[in-house]
Amino acid sequence: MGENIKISTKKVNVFYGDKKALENISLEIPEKKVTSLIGPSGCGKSTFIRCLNRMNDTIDICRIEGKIIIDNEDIYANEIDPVLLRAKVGMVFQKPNPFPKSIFENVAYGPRIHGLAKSNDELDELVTNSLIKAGLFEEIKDRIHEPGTSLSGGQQQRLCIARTIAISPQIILMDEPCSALDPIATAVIEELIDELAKNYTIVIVTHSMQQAARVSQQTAFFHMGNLIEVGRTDQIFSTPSQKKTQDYITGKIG
Amino acid sequence: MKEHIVTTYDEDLNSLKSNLTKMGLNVEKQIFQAVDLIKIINISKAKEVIENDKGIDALEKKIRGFATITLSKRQPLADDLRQIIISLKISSILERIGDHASNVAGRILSVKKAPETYRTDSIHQLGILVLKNFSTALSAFDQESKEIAQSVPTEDIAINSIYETCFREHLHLMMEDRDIIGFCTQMLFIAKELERIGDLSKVISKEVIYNLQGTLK
Repeated sequence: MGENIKISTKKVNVFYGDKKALENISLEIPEKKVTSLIGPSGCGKSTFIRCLNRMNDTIDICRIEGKIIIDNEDIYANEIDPVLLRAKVGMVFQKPNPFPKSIFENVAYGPRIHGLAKSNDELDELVTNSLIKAGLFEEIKDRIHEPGTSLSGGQQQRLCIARTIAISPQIILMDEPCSALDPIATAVIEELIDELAKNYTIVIVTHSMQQAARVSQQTAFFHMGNLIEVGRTDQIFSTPSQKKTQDYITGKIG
Repeated sequence: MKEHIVTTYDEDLNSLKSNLTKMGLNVEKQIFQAVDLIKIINISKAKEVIENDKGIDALEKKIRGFATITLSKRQPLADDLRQIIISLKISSILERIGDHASNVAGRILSVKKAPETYRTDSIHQLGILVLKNFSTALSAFDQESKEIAQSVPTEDIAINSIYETCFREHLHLMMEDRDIIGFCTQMLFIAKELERIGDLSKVISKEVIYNLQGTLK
């Protein structure tokens, strides 16, 4: 697509024990763009996204072959510290999962453990900026020390996004970030994704074709562990080149 | 053809297509009758053609309403989306063609009868070709056939050339006999209406190809 490639995967295979979950996935993800991953449940898209910040390391039976390159660096190389990698590649999950702490502490937690703020003032500023970027600050500025769990679902999800961007990641992975939200909260998150894409590379897993069509510039279709098709989002949803893609996005069986 | 998981979605798309085919057949009948009026002027039949145009307008509204509901209900993508887009486009083209057929009938109403010295059959022949090419475009839509659709623009080139011939022929007729200038002028207006139907048939064929290929040429 003519942009810088931020993430490049080369012939990635993923196994859970003997079961192959992903087969030969080679995909390039452009910088500061939104890439959607679509496909039926169990097709491997979440497995794929979890490889990008080595979340699969926490699963004992999970084994990965192939290469995942971020900024010309193999993220599975021995010298890579997964903790630092996850600071660079943040993640937002399907169900909002704020820590059982105040709104402020939720956002301040990451910068504290990574030592990103030198003083309390600096930390305050970082938390405020993160909440502003996540489009949440105006709504909660008077109750920033109340529990994060007291927020609505959509606000909690934006809190999780604020928490992710507080540690200045370059890439944000989102695994069905709106599937637990109502249409209005979804619209707010989508608006936020548009805004975030100016500064971050975003990879989003979604079950909503319309959401993928709205928020992303590139779309990849996964099916039974294979990458069937990847291309410009407008092309994938108007004239997909593969029959499997066409059948999936139009809801056909045969 | 694969079916949708949701069967009512297939029913909606089929219903859209059958309404459009019905509209196309009604328009075809209107063109047929309008062309027939050129050969045999018949005031009551001309009035009938004008009256029947209202039914075509109503079908266009119906298709538009149905397509709008289907869009909002199904949020279609890829070939499904194109099918709905071309339904909107083709129904609007058919409505225009219906107007042209009705305009031919209107011209017939104003000429009332042909002068005895007017003997040429060329505009009627033009009408027959236009009707035939419209029917071809309609078949291409109904059968979703790229091959049939591709023959329509080629035939339209022949139609345009015959239209030019008719135009020159009528200029000569008017120069030779000043008494038939009024009648010939109306006939030339009719020829123009027919030529427009030819052009619009070509647009239908292009929409059919767009639906099948996914890109506009």
